Amino acid sequence: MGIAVRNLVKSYGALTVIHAISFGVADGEFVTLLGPSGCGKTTTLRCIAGLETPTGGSIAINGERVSDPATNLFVPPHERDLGMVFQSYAVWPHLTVAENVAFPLTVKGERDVAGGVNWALDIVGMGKLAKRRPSELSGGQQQRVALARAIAARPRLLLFDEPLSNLDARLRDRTRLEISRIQRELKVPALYVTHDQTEALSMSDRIIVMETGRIVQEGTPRDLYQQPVNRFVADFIGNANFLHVQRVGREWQLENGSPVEVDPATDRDDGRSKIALLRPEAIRLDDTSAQAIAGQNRLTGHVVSGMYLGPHVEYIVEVGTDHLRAYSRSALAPGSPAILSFDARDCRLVDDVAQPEARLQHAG
Amino acid sequence: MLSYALASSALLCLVLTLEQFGIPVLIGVPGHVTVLATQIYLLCRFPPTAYGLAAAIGLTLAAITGIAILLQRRLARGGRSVVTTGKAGKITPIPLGAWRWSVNLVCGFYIAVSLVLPGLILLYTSLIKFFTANPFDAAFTFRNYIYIWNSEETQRAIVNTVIVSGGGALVGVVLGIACSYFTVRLRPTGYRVLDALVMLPFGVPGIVLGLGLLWAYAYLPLPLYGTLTLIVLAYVTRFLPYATETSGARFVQLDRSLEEAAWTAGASRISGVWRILMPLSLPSLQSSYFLLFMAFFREISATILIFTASTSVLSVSIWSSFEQANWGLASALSILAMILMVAMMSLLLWVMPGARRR
Repeated sequence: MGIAVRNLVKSYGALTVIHAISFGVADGEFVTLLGPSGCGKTTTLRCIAGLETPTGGSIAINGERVSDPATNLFVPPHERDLGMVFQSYAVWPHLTVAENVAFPLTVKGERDVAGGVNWALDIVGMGKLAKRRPSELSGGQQQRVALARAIAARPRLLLFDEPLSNLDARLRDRTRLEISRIQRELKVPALYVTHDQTEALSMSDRIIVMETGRIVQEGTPRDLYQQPVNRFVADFIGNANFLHVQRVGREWQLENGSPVEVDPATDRDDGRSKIALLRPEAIRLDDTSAQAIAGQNRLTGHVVSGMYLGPHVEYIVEVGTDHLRAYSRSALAPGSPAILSFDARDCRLVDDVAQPEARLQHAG
Repeated sequence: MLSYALASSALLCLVLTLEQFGIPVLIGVPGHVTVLATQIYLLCRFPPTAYGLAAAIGLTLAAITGIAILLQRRLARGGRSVVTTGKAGKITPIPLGAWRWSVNLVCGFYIAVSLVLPGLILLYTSLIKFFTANPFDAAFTFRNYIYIWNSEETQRAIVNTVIVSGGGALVGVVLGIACSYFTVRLRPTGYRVLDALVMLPFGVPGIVLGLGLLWAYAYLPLPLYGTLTLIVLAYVTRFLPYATETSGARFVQLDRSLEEAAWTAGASRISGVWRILMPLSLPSLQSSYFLLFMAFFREISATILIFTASTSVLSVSIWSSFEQANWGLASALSILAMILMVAMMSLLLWVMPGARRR
């Protein structure tokens, strides 16, 4: 059940913005399409909603085909039984909050419209503002109305198109939790589009990372953070340090010759150029008095700068020719030498691909 | 930047002047001053009629105004693209100081000469028995108004005018919505052709349009000649750009996602237009109805060649009595038309407060 997308292609004339991608969303699952702007994530979502007409491939919702250009099948959006939340809220300004939420119920001919409206408004905590006009609401409240409207008719699928990007930071955190809670309560499959890795990591059961109309990697937030397939994914999700390493004999070395022990599971000789990924929180940063820890990598560098953040200090440390980000609670003066220790398993070799192949035909 | 605007408004004035029919026919013809627009009318209306020549003049006139309109639109676009690159600036009034009163005086004088004075004269001529050497010696009478009260023909013209303006404007607004939805939202292949087709009549003088319609429907097997439908058709064709410009400008302002939200909520395209787009565009639609109503009410150039006894409208009645040298009746009808127009305007503004915004 849920969504099944097979070889979806979308072209505008000669320009192809989605290159035959396939993925699914299981029943009750929260899946996020994550990627930079122009990667095709929003177009994919709009194809599923029926707001764009795909060029090729098929889309099925709950096992029922809604789009298949090969057989000229295209179910219009209003027959797809879904709820969608837009980036611009798209709350109708000429209707009250209650009338906005009632809209999907009345067009579908539901009997108990008032009951449905109350249910949906209670879920988003907007019951008291039912008679207000959207112009009298804050951005966060408007987005809650949009959310209530999307769930009011109990759709079989929820779609979110960057719903938080117009909200300020604090409101974004709260609304994020709210959306997660509601989706789990309703147990309805959801597809969520964002370019914000924090949203993706915190809300999703599964994340699909896209770039230039292709899927780069998909997996749980933990998988993507801990085992990114390439430099692009590692860089896009979380903070990442990259060490330029080269194979010398049987070991890997920095450009200054220091040997680095890497995660053996990632040490594959597949002919592709590699770079070592090291997350900042995996590094232990000390002054030169620190004792060597058995079985750990130990590199020497110089502190370039430090930024006091409260819980810890964020340092930039120069190691050979690379600049690494690392956290420490001790005070280290800029220019002073420092010791970086880290576990070999935390130092993963990834494909050195910052931008996957098709970057040149950049999608709008 | 200003030169764009000046050139563009100069061209617009040129077109409007070339198209002008009502004023030259009233003032020019008796003094044997004819312009192209009135020449067409004279050639068609009075023997020896020369429809071929009239058609040739019509095409020439349409070509001149058409080219001018094309140039004007290009200039206006050029000017606009310059303006939109800048930041929206605040408008600072220029203090006129001592000049203020003289400027006010000039404006007041213009209004008096162009509006108040003719109005008073109309009222005067509609009420006198006959012209006297000293205007203040005149004897007054209500006979023109009594005549109108008793004249079935005039009453039909009034009813026709209200039907054509009220109903025709509605047709125009609906057609305008349809055209704008095509050119702004749906944008099917070749939508630019539709856009251009809608704008085309803007460059065609009303008298030329009337001539074309006269020929088309006098000879085509469509039973439209001599019906009010033909008059409405002529008016809607002529003034459709008013409607499409107003509703199109509003549709452009409304984010597409408002309608898309309606579709994903289960509303069909038509339902989305009806329940979301229409209510949100209501003020613009009202003002486009208002514009069309006013334009239809006073239009004469497109009607003068295609009206028949049963489809006469008020503007034509005024012209006919003037032509028969019955100035008193013409003035009384004009006064009546003015009162009717002001009444309708107030009524429309009361019913549709949104129309006032533009």
